[in-house]
Amino acid sequence: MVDAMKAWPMAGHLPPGDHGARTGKGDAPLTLSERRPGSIVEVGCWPDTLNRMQMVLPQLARNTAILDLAPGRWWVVAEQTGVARDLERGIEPGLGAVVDLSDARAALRVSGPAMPDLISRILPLDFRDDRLPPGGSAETVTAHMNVTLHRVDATTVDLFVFRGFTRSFLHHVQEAARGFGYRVTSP
Amino acid sequence: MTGMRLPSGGNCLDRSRPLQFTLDSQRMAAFAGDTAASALIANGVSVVGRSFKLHRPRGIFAAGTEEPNALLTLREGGRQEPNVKATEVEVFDGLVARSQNRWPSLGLDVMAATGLAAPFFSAGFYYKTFMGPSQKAWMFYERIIRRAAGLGAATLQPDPDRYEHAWCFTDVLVVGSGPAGLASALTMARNGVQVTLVEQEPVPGGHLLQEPGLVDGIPAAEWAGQAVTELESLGVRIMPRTTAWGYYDGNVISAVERVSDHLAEPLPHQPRQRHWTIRADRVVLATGAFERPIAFAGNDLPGVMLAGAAERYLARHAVVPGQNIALFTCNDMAYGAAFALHDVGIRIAAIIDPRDTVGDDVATGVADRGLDLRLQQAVVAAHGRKRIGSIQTAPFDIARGALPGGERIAVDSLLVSGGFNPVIHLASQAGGPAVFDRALQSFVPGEAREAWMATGAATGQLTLAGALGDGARTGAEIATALGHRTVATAVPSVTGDRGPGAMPGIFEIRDKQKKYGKAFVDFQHDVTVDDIRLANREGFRSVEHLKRYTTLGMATDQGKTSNIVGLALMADARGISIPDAGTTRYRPPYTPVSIGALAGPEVGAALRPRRLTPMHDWHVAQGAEMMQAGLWFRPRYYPDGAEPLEAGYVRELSMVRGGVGMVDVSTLGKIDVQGPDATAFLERVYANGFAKLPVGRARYGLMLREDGFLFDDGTTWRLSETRYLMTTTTANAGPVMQHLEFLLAAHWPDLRVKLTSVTEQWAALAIAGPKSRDVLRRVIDDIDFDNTAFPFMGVRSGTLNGVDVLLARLSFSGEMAYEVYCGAHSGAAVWSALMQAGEQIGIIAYGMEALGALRIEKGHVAGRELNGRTTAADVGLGRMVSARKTFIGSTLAQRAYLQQPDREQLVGLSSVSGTRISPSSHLIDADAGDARSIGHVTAMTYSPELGTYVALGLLEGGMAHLGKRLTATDPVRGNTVEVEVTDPCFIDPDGSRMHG
Repeated sequence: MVDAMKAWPMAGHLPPGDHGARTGKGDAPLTLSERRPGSIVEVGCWPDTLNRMQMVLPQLARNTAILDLAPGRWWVVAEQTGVARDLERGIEPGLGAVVDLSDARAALRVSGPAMPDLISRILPLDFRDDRLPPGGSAETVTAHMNVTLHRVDATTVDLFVFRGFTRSFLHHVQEAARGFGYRVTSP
Repeated sequence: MTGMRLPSGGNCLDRSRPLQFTLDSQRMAAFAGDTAASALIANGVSVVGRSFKLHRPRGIFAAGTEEPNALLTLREGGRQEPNVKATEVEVFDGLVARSQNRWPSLGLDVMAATGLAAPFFSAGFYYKTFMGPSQKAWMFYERIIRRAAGLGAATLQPDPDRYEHAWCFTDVLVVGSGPAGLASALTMARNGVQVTLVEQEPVPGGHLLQEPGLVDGIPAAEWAGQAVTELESLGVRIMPRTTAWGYYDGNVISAVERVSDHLAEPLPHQPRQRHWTIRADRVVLATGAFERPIAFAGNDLPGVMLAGAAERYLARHAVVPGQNIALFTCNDMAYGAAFALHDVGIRIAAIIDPRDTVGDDVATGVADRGLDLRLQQAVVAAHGRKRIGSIQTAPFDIARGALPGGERIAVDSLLVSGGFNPVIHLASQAGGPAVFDRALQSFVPGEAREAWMATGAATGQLTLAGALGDGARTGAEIATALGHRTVATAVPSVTGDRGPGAMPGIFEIRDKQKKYGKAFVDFQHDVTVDDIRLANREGFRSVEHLKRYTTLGMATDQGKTSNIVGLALMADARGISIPDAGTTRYRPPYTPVSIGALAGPEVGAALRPRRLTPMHDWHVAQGAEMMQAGLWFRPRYYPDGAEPLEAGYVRELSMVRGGVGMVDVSTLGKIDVQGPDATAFLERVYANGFAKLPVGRARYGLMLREDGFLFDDGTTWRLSETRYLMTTTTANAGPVMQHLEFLLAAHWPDLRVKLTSVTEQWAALAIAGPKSRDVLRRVIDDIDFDNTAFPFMGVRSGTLNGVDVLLARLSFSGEMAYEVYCGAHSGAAVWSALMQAGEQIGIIAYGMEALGALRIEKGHVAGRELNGRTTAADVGLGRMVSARKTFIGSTLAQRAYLQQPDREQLVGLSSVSGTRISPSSHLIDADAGDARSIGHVTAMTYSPELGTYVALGLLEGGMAHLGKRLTATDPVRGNTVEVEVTDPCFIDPDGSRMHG
């Protein structure tokens, strides 16, 4: 019932298939797909609880990606739902704060060998010499829209954007990806 | 005779690919690799444009970005582009080019008659002449003058092409791929440095492509090709057709890549141009040098050309500007052009050199070829109508200038070289004042204020060996500075190099007796040597005044061939040295940048991102007229067929007051305030108390700015002992968040509070009207909606079809109402479920207009009243402000100025006759005979309950005028109505409806 009530923000706006420039017979240099994480949770701590939180959080957030966004501020991104409640149980107010943002963002996965080139068309981010290594994250802006980037591996990033901007963001990314040619796959 | 193409040669030409293009509908033949300029010369075209002011015929003068004359309008329709330099246009098949500033044709331009009055057209002529008889006279004349003088016209059609923005991060950016640029890039890349190389031309190589000498034993052009191949193999990113046009703080370079300018239209999915923002750890400025002209009478005639340009056209495109050519030079380098032309069979009529000697190599070259060299002579005039036909020489002495005598020599072209000006534009943008170099008689880059090094001809290293060596040394120095071991620093060897020899500063051959015509300094703006002397006589002596008075250097070429000559003439007129006369700082852009490249993808519907609520598609499907609120799109009203706005919102308002309606309020700002000190924090930022707010209750809060004025309002819900959900107005969601984050970061870092925007996490709707509770009860069974269990301002959580929902009993409308929040992904489903649940009892959706009308009737303030100039007391909320605590704004809110009784304060206004009140009306006390505005209407609506138009307003003295009749007048729209001052709360003053 709960899942049936959910409308994923990119559903219907990212039609699967090959788009943009033809790139020959090989695999498309770029693949775009909506990511549908069950949980996106922001966790913060206080100046005097930083060390403790750095120890506690990885234990509480197993099987998740922990994005280090700023001193004392993280995102926990997970496939499963309900992570916010689990973290609230483990993080008392004296240790830090937990905010559920699972519905607040649309997420787009960009992968393929041309991923850094596409990123250079939309975000002012430095990918040289692993300045943003796998596991790293950045908060930045594209076309007036805030973007949180998570580098999943060498050729894959997840881009999180305010849910309300989903369609403008998709238009912006797809326009930038046209020149490379891209494939949209199902979430 | 005119220019022509040679049967062989041209290292940039592909003769297997012939092309056709048109100039003013005349067909022209070209080859792939031609520029429009080279092709026009090859087709024998002499006159390619008319000058800006005097409509003089002008030909191709240069071969690169410095070209002042040959401006064309390219293409047609939406792709039409004016003022493009023919020297930078790569010809493609079917290119349509038109000349500019002429009518009816280039050959017969009736405006050339202005030339008859040319003696009067000196600097400042228009402003001196057309100032009277009245103050408006200039406005009248200006339009006519601007029509007569001008450049090409932009198209009014939309540009069909895409433009991209892109970012590049690199260890080293090399600007320019001439000898110094390639040598520096090679040295760095061989030593492991990551290098990006930008070159404005389609083919890298710069001056190497026209050098006659050998580099490492092979022709220079071939060496350039090998260097590029090696650079690519070393992973260097080479970006041709890319102009670095701006150098900004933090070593940021702006560049434009002309991706498709050389094509009739962009390839599928490719942009026309791409704008790059390049962040480099280090920058090498290998930007080369421009050849400098010499001013003499008639020096603007078609057929007069820079010597280096002629050499370049020959080497790259196998075209020659004429067949009987003279060279006028005061340096050795320019002899290369005469030698090269002679060697392909072109007659060199004479070489005129004001110096008394030339270098040995040059002397040998002249002797070997049997050329007619005339030392200590100068060209005082060029003669001809639409093309040079002859030159007048004169004996010349460095100290005394041109002397009587000389002879007239028939020529069809004259090559000129007065020396070389380093291209210091980027260095000037990111450096200290340029430094005068006496040997060059020009300026070289000053102190570096960003991490750049200039190299090669940009620093005055004019020889090939000098540029290559300087580039290699620069590359090695940077590689070492970046921590690389520099082992490979070989400097290429050069055979057959040329040096400039002695280069005296000869900028003008003065026609003292004024026997001949005008001598031009700035060709594009028709600035003459006499204009510069006039500026001096009239007191416009500083270079900044000179520039603005004469418009020297202010045309689209930004004075690339004229600035130094103009400066030298002013220095001479003032009797001071050139460095004492100074130089202006160069500003971006180095060359014109298209608006499309700057705008990038942010055009049309993508100008601003569109922010949509989770229920957006439902609103659109129901036919809502959408309106923008900041970036958000919100339903204005849901018209019933062709129902007009007022009928629609009044219907929606009536349905809410009489039944139930639902409005999407997802756009409200929402901030999660969390932490052990959250309550203390709210106590400091709100003007009213929050310390005693129990869990499960909401409170309306007033936030002041530091200066005591109202900032924002909204409700804040206490979710737990340490957690609140703060709501803000839609418009102030961002500013409130910034304000609060600043306070926490800067003033109260000791408070353990986290703020997180949850605006997008929650879909939110307000369900209002006497039947609202009935609807909720049908779909939410785990919340007790009884009045005592869920009182006004209560906050409860429950589930709706399994979705977690958070409800607060709040009322903006004055009716019994609830706000329902749920996760945004479920917003559309929750909205639909409620609409379905209310269908039988007549639920409707209402939009922003009805929402506004409801709050006006209730007297609730919103953005129009919280306008940054009102206090809590001004809008009737003074009693809410706590006197028992200190909070942001509490001190300055006590200022005497803010306590004055005659401040503009909130009142209600009711139309006496029942006619409409303009929402932009001023309030006037006509009875007092005072036409002064004593207030204004902030918002108005028709009230079906009261049967008249009512409004809220801010009125001097506010409620002291209760019952008084005023005139509400909007003279702009011609609306004047008599209104009565009332209480701002028009309906349900005791609140029984919302407390229900």
